[in-house]
Amino acid sequence: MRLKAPFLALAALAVTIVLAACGGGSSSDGGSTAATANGPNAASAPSIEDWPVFGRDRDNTRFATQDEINTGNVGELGEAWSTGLGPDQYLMESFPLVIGENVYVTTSTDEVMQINGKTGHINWTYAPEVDFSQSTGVGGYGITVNRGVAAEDGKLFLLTFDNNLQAISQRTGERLWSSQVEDPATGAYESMAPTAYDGKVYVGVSGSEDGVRGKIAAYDAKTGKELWTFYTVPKAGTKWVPEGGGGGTIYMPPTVDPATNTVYVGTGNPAPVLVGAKRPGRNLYTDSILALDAGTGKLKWFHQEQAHDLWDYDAESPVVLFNAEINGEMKRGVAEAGKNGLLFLLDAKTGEDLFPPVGFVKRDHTPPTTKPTLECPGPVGGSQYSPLAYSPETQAVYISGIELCMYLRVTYENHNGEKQFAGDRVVPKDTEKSGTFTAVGVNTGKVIWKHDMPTPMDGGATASAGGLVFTGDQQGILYAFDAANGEDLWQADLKLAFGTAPVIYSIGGTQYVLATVGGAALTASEELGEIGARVIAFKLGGKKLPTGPELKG
Amino acid sequence: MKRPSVILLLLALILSAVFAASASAGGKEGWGRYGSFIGRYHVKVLSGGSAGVRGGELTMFIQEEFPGSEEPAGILKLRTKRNNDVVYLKELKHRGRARTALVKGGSFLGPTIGRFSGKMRRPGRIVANVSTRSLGTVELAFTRYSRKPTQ
Repeated sequence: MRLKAPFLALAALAVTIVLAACGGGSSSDGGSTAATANGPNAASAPSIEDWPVFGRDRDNTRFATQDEINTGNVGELGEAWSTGLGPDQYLMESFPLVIGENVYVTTSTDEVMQINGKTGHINWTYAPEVDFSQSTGVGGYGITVNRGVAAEDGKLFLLTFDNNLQAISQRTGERLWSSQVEDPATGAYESMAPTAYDGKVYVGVSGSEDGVRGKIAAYDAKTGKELWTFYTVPKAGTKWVPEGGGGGTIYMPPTVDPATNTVYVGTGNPAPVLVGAKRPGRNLYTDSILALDAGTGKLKWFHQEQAHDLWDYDAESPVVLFNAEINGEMKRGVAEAGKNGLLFLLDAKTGEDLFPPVGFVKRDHTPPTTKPTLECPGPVGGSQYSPLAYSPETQAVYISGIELCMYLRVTYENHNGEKQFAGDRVVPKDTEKSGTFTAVGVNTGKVIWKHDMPTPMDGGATASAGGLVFTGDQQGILYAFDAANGEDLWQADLKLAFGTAPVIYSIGGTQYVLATVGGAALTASEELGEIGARVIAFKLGGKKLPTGPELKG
Repeated sequence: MKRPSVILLLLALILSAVFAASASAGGKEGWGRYGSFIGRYHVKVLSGGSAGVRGGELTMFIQEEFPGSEEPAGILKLRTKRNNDVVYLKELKHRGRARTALVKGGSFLGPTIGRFSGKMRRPGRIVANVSTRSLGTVELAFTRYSRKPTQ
């Protein structure tokens, strides 16, 4: 993993001070507590291991290099601490960062909290002034979510629902600057975590269903000044975009490859969503993976996952980079799982397919008409914003899938909730919502193993060098599978639905698995059970929690 | 029983059933004429409740998930020292000047977590108590500043 040297030094100093205060001496492996609680591997565990960027490393792999918790001892995993995130929090799509001893997590209403990673104590909360009135347009459901912050050089970067990029002090939670990235009156809103790298902060905007014009932009991390903007679709009323139309918006953080100075990002659907006749052609660059020059925003290549989309099949989840030997040749690859139910494995240099796309949910769809047609996956299906995990040890990516067919019907009408959906989407009565969790080899393009899951899988995955892959479902069950063969090794019933994937970090030589729970907006909102959003940390020897049901697949 | 008596009895039963249904639901559907309440409101805190609400904003709009499903609804942000508390108003009812709604958490489809109960003093001017488990009971005065929910 990549860590800033001054930061490591500060973190090590902090650990030393804490250990000294606890009478634990100057041992950098965490002292006797870690050795007793964590078994024989504790001695080799690093003192501090951060999760400093969205996907832990710049390749966005969500792969933790620690192996203290592994296939042999994961059954001993239990709760270390649990912290509630404030009043009336019901959703949780925030992917935390862990830097030094502190966890940084956002709430669905844009607060940022610094939480002690060993104890769960909330050190500070930043609560910005935010205008949430535009959530009238988010599917008409009033949903607001925040998927996390980015961090660099002592600053945290936050995108608020009303389209402000804010820098706050990592140490104190004080606001340093704020910059508006889009006018909320356009219908645009923010849900994504930004990406910070080398003095720039990369952001997008959300809201294709309202006809928002998608864009990705870079801002100066010191001042908040806009450096460049790449629009993903033409202006409304020009080229293929009709008046009031647009799309190609962005929901998850871009991935930066420092070696090639490239920004990779996925884009959303075109609008009007169901009426293709009003927007002729392929509708570039909607539902696409884009590779842009990180310094200038100039397009290097694009790969469209769904040309002339009629089903709301965003390429929404964040892009993962990997290295794999394919037919005897080392390749740098790009992986992304789309809402159309297909995993794409692309050449990172050219955007060409390395393998044919791999299906991971049922796929059976036809162009929508003025009469209801059943479409699989539906607009809330396939893989939503859910991040993949990639394990270099198994050479596999792990995909969260949603099995949910929906009736679509073209009405040509603009509804108050979404100005440019132009139709209805209805879940068939008596539908049993379910999901999949699938491992696909990036060096073969083949499914290695697959589980049918009891609920839609929206949170994403996290893998580790302990041979494990973690994911959570809508019942609130956190699973640990054997990454190589999919064996269900451990479960914990957290009672709150998952809308995110865990992060893994180490403090004082103790490895923690941290889950943020409270539910994903689109799949959990009808099924919310116990109320509340929480952050729950696990470690070996922690408090045992009940398990969930046995899996079928 | 003679026919007029049967008719009167049936009428009485129907009226009592309608009255009972209306009473149990707390009044007529909605908050009256759309023009009297749709829009954006400033919030003045009269009593901050146990959570110490300091301010907020209310947006009332017509939710239309699909054609013919028009239903008024509200988004209420209440700001405490440490939190942005965002809740959702559904199942609006009115009787005379009284205006009530269920308070939902997380989204309009989320669980019911409390109640909105107030009086419309005049169009665009409402004084109400909002009660949730987390906030306690908060007394608020709402003054409309825009008739357009998104501006």
